Amino acid sequence: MANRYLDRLRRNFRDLAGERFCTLVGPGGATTLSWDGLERDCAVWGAAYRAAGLAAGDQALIFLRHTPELYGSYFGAMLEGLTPSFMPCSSPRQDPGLYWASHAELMRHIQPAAVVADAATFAEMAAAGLDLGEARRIEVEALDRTAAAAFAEDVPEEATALLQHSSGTTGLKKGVALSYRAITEQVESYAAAIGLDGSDAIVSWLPLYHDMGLIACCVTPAYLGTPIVHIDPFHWLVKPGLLFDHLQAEGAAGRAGFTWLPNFAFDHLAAICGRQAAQWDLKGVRAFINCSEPCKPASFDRFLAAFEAGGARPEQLQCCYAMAESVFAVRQTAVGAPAHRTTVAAGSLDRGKRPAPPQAGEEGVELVECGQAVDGIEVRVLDEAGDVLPAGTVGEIALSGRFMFEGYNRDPARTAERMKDGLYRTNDLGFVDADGRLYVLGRLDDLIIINGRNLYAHEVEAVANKVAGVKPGRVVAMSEFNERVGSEVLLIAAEQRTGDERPRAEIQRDIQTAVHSVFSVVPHRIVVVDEGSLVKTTSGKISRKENLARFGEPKGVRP
Amino acid sequence: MTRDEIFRLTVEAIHEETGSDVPITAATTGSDVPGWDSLAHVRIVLSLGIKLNCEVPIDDTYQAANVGELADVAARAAGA
Repeated sequence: MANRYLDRLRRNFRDLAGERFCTLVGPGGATTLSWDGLERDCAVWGAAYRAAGLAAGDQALIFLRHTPELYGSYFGAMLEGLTPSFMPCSSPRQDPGLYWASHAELMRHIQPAAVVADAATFAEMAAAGLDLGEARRIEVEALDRTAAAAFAEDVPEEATALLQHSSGTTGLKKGVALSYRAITEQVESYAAAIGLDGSDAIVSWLPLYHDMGLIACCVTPAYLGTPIVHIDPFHWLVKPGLLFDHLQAEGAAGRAGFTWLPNFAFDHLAAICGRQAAQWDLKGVRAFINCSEPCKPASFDRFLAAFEAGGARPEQLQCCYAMAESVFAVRQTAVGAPAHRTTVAAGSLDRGKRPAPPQAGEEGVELVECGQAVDGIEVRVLDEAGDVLPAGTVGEIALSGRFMFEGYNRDPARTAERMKDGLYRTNDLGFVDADGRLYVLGRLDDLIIINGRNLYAHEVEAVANKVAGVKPGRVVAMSEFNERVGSEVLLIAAEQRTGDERPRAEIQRDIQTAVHSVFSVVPHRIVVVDEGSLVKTTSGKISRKENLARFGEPKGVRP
Repeated sequence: MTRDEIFRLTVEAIHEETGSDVPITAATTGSDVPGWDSLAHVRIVLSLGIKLNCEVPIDDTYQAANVGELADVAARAAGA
């Protein structure tokens, strides 16, 4: 079967030559990359891959910061038949030595055929002693700009198009392998669901190593021919109003704007830009889509209250339920209509229960829907035995459909654990109401989602365990929702070894440095306590729930 | 506004934006304050700008080694 994705990319090179592919926005201003510029970049990168001796099916890890080379290196790899994967670089406040040293296990596991980076990043890796193994080092500064490769015409649609590493630590990241067929089917189905086409525009500050940034804001628009405005993520954090500047500009040019944001971003925008709301005209924005962490009605309310003066309306605020294993979107609210909300009794949200309105005296929890089915993927809600539950009952969300992943890269055991009887078990807890709307409630495992970033509590604990003075095995990582931030925050409690005389403030600081360096997340609270202070379950395990009650302020519905 | 007042407002902004109540001195660094991540840093600097009625240059704040130096950046921005 023809490779529809690469065929479309090549057709876009021809049909859209001279038109804008992407505007990259950073501290130094804006740079526009046209479709013919992208084609030239892809040919240059293809030649570099070929010169390095790479062959079809080889995996290339791309560690690049915000630069037009992101696109040429990525699509150039695809057009050469390679399998690319964007990877995050260290951030300005991280210890680069600790950060890159933590990649050693990942490199051993993936054994990439090539690593793409700039000279400074390769130098950071070398200084940290990171062994890249047999991988060819392809340095941006050493590219031969005069070379050009003819694009491969024979990459099959069933070939692995890309790997997404969006969850887990650097050492244990899950590499989600996706075929060209899967990404094409997802793109076509999701575009139809939200009414996105080449006449619209996507404005994003999301990094491309994140599935929302990659699929919604790079792979999808490249296929549809939708212009992209890509803002440097660190620059956006400082100047979040840039998102509105560009949405407004696209609207003025007659393009309906789409943007995808994790929940915390709605609060960040309201907190930082709310006072200047009237300076923007947001009426032309088609959708602000909340995705990648649980959508909070209060965050929508704060956003609307802040930007009503700029023309923000409830029907612009949408929700999407997505994950890398299904390429991206599973469910999506109806663009053009406000997302449905419901209030249910807080005590009715456990597995096997049927959420119902609160009775007098009962605490209520307001939920916002994640929408209706995206064509091509089916949601089932399962009980502990794996049997399908009736509508309206809380259980584990499981997926099947025509654009599911192929498996985890080099990890058949994990693939088998999550794919059972043709269903992908998400570990998400939720229910579907009588009208077919999905509500996502929390996790069955210890995944913590902080500002859209996924990390597992047991992996955080493993890192904190190595800090001097901490009693090995006596650390617990927990999370709670923080209204001010608009996301979960990370809490860590650790026991200090009896006899250890280090000041606790030093241990706290070392835990903070280690966790930040490995996970790019700063714990919100770190408590160091005497040996024996953490609460254990009857089976002798440290209880996250009980320790959260002791050391945090539990809110929401996380089990 | 005196340098001491600006330092006090800096500490106030850090406590407000991180949600932490750890004691802060001029020698305190970001690693000593739980919750002081990239997002909190941006909010601290913007909050400080509002308190001082000036724009505190965020790029300069990334060069500050500790809270004392952060207050110095803010003081320069405020013309103190």
